Amino acid sequence: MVKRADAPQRGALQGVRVMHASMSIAGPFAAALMADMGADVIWVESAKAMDITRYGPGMASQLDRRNQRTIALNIPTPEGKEIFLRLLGKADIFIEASRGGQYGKWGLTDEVLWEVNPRLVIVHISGFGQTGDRSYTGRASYDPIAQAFGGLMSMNGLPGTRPAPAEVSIADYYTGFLAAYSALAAYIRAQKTGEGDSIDVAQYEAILRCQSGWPLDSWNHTERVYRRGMGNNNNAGFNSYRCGDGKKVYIVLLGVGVVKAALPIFGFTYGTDEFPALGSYKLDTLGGQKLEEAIEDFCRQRTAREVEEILSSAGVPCSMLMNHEMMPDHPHFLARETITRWQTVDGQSITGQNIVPKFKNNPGHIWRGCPAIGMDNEDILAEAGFSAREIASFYEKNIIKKGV
Amino acid sequence: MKRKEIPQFGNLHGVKVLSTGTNIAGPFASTLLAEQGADVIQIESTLMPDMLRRQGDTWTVEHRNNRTMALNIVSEEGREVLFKLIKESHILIESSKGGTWEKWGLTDEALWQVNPQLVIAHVSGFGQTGEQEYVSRASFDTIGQAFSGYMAINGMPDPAPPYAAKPYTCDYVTALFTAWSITAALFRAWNTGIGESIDIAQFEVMARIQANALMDGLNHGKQAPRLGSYGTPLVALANVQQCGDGNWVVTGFGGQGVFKRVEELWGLADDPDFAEPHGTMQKSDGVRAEKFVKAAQEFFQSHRAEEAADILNKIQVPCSVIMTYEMMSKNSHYQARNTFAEWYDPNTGKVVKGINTIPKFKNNPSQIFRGGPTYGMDNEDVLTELGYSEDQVSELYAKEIIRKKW
Repeated sequence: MVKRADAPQRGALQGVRVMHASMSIAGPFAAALMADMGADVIWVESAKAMDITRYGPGMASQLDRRNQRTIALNIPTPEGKEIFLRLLGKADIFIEASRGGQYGKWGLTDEVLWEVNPRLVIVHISGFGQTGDRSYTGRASYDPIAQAFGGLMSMNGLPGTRPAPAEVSIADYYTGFLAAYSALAAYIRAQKTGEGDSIDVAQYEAILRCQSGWPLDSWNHTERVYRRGMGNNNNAGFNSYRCGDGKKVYIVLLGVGVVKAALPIFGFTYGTDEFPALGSYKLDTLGGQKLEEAIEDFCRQRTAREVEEILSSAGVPCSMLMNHEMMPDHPHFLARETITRWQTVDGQSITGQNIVPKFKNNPGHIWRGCPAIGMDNEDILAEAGFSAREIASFYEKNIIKKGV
Repeated sequence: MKRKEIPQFGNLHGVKVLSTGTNIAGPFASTLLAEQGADVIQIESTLMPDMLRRQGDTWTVEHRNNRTMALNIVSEEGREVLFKLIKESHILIESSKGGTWEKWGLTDEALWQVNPQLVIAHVSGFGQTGEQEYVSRASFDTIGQAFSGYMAINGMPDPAPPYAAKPYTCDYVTALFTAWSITAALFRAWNTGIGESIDIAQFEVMARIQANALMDGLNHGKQAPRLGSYGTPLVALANVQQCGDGNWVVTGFGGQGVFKRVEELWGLADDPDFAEPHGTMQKSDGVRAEKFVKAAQEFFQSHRAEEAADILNKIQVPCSVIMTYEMMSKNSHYQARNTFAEWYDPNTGKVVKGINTIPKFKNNPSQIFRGGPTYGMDNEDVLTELGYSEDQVSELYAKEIIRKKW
């Protein structure tokens, strides 16, 4: 349906050729970031099992498969491997997501791939990594498994309740970001040296890397990290507050400038015994307690919108707790076109997240929605040098597939 | 530390990064690049050290492999230093309220006059453009979580309140978006000779990663509910279960194969209620769901968390212990992969233990050559590299354009 030459040449990554064989979110999101920036992305979908985002829940595939071409291919067959390796010969970056060691088991080690294409950057995404304790590397993983094994889940949730994962699939997204960033870093070098790299992205490590100093505090000072609930560090004015109209705001009193600006609003003076010249006040101090009560009163007496406006205009960080219904008509979302519309491949118009971030000189561009299964088989295989007769025989043998 | 003393390693060796942001959202991006060998100079304000320095061990992990200067970039002399640094940098990452650099006269165009190839990342809460009333607003991690709609879908189901995901989820997502997009822009700048300016808004990156939740909200008017420890609102068994030893596990029950194997394990396979193939277990499944939940709870309560996870993983059912930091530091897989590392922290003069570099590169591995530097630690070395004499450096100290002690 779309030849390489037909895809628009725009964005910072125009000319970069990416292939991914991955399902769900982590791998496809990495490829989607590249596709949004103009890379030529071929999604190698399994000819045997449909990507779970195609049948639910919801519309995630429409978002994270846009701007991609697709081939539905059965890789671990002799013909499938031949097609796969021939496609890789023309790729710059390959991203796969499976249990650790899966490609090696198929005989498709990094070294085999580099024989075909020494410049190739290979990204292996898995729950537990390609190396390590064998009883873990073969384990299945989904986002919550990684959040649990990476230590994030034991910090999330309200005190005294069950731990809970951070939604939506934050381990998948962290993993996808690290995959995309690392692939490009290696690609930049491969361009100069002619030698690719292989990157081992483990979901649980991705989630652990993004935990600030908390793990260090625990390992170096045996400071226990517990589920802290809504607030942070037990500071006054660092929490969500219910307003008079039943809606909520989140306020962050942190930093000298912010505290100086905020105290008079709640009827206090900065630089006194109760409120010494600091950037935050602990809840277990007299001033901290008074401040917390004053903020609660202040919010109760006003609508969320009023609280947000009063604090924001004074330079105090505050936001209403937005939900998805409040966004489409919000002036700032509208002014920045944070939400946009595009066409699905069957001609429907859908609304979704625009490309972020915004590049001034080489902006991203949405040129196509999520492709149907195997929609570009012919174009991609013809570009790899396969004849019409070969392609027909691949269909017969179920090496490639089209449609549901 | 002098530039030539920075060890050569990684895929980004030779890339020069200047970072002026505070906290995590901007600076974490530059540290990711530093872990792949980039030369990163972190500029702190002379008015106040970065508040991250007061957050326990955070500084030593989120600024490792950086060099640091304390420089007043809005003073005349400070701007001169800044421009000299920009001239030789590939990437500039700043984080401040939208439009701050423009107010200082430091527009993208002014910076490109100094260095046309410069990749500029503006990190802010609400972006550089849009409603002025919002653009100028202050933001922190939780504000980004709230304004993006992310907080509304986190926390236990109604009527429990929305919840801010820990730690600093919005800051990390913003930084990861920044690292990825500056690298994309660097690739293009090197190929075309023309730089780039990237506008990264905390609320937008958090809206971007809401997958089907936001898509369904926008297209079908469905507000995603807060699920807490449940996988979906319809599912019969909470994902998170407490085990006999008081520790917790999380499970991923989904797909026919998984249910078949676990039902065999729990002795439910011969029960006629389970005969019909099923890939889910919903509240609406009535008796079957009740029996399943009961068997699950009996299983978890009669095993230690680690035992339960091992048994389920052996039959290919996704399950993990909800790890605490203590469990992680003893775990065999963490040890086998060297997920942790030790490095020297110049702030405390001690060796600290923390997360190793992530992910793992086979041919050009990352390295940690030092922990987060002390305030103004590399002032002299950086200025000398720019051609400043000892006398000039002393004068900059005297005028408090640069600073070392606090």
